[in-house]
Amino acid sequence: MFNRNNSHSQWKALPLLVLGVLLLTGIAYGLWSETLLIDGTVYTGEVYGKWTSCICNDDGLDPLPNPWPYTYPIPTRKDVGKTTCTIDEKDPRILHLTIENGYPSYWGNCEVHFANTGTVPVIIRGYSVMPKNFTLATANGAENGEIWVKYWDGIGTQMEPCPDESCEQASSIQFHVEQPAKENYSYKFDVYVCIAQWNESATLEQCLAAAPKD
Amino acid sequence: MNKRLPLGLLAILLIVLLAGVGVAYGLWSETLTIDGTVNTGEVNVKFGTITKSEKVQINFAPPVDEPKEKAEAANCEYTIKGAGTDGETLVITTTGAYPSWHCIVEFDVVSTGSVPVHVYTPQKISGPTWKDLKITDCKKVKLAQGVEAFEDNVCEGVECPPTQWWQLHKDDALRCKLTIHFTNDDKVDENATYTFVYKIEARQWNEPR
Repeated sequence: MFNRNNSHSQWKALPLLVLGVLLLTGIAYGLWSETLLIDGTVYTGEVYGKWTSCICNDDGLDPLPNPWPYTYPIPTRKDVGKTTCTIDEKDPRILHLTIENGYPSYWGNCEVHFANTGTVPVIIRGYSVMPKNFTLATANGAENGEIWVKYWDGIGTQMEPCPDESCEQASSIQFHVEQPAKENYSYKFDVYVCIAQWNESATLEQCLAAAPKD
Repeated sequence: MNKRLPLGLLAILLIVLLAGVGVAYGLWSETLTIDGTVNTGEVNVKFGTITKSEKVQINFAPPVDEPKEKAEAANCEYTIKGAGTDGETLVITTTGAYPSWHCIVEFDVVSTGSVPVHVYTPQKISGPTWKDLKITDCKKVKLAQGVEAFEDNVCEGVECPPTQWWQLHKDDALRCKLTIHFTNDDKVDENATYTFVYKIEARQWNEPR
């Protein structure tokens, strides 16, 4: 049995005991050794593209396809419809294409440019036209939808990061208002162009699924 | 009756006695001396030859050398910090890394001390859990022979067990391959920074962990 005084003196001895153990431990681990380190930092790159320009061919008088694809005579051009396109000021990955006062057979073509402004080389995996509130016609002049929209570009083309000369691509977006289109109606659609890192094969669907949604 | 000796006489008597004793032990003697000097050895390791290569997998095929036109997209550099000190550090920095791009750094850990050492498998003490961030192919190289002689290649293509060690004498080296690579499955963010640290421990040969 410890009396109160003995117990006190044991507590006083505890720090000395700890020091002794640490000292012994220190000796055990202090034996001749050396350490080398590998210190690594990985800065990841980025896949990023943005629209750089857009010019539409409605310069006043409504444009007509050239060559004229129909059997009836080429009509006299009039200034009726209007097409404008602008790059979104906040998110240059979005391009706004607006057609005003469209009417059946109103047609237009816009030349759009986009650039690889990321750090990783990319391949254009494809594009997708997504109508929001109408049925997409399957061809220019087909009457199985209200609007025909077609995007042309170099699917499969590799684009190096800017400022490489291959960093920018010119593409074309064409549209045609078809006969089933309603009057005084606003048709909305999105066109997605999907680019992905150059070294991993991906379908358009895989590319779109992996793309950021914001 | 008080018959004390005078103090002066007592002092002279003591001196004579001590002198007598001195004479008795000082006669016919010899001394041998051991004069010792211990020059200690040294445990010392450092990074030796370092090479790097950049490779890329195209459509998930085996890695190939990075094409020239893609060389600027991602890069891998290294430098040595604190050369000659305990804790000498091989600093590796990659920029612009993207999925399926590889940075491969082959490095030597050279024993330059006089005491043989056991160098243990490099251990990752921090960093991401990418499947392909690893050190493999560790093998011992005898550099002192003028040509590189390899032996103990027990970890070809794989990470060595943590308890594995190699005994290096002066000018022997342990050569290992560090691979920095991530895939889409590793969920790595774009424009992000990831760091990792590997520790390589060398201990005197005769006192294991």
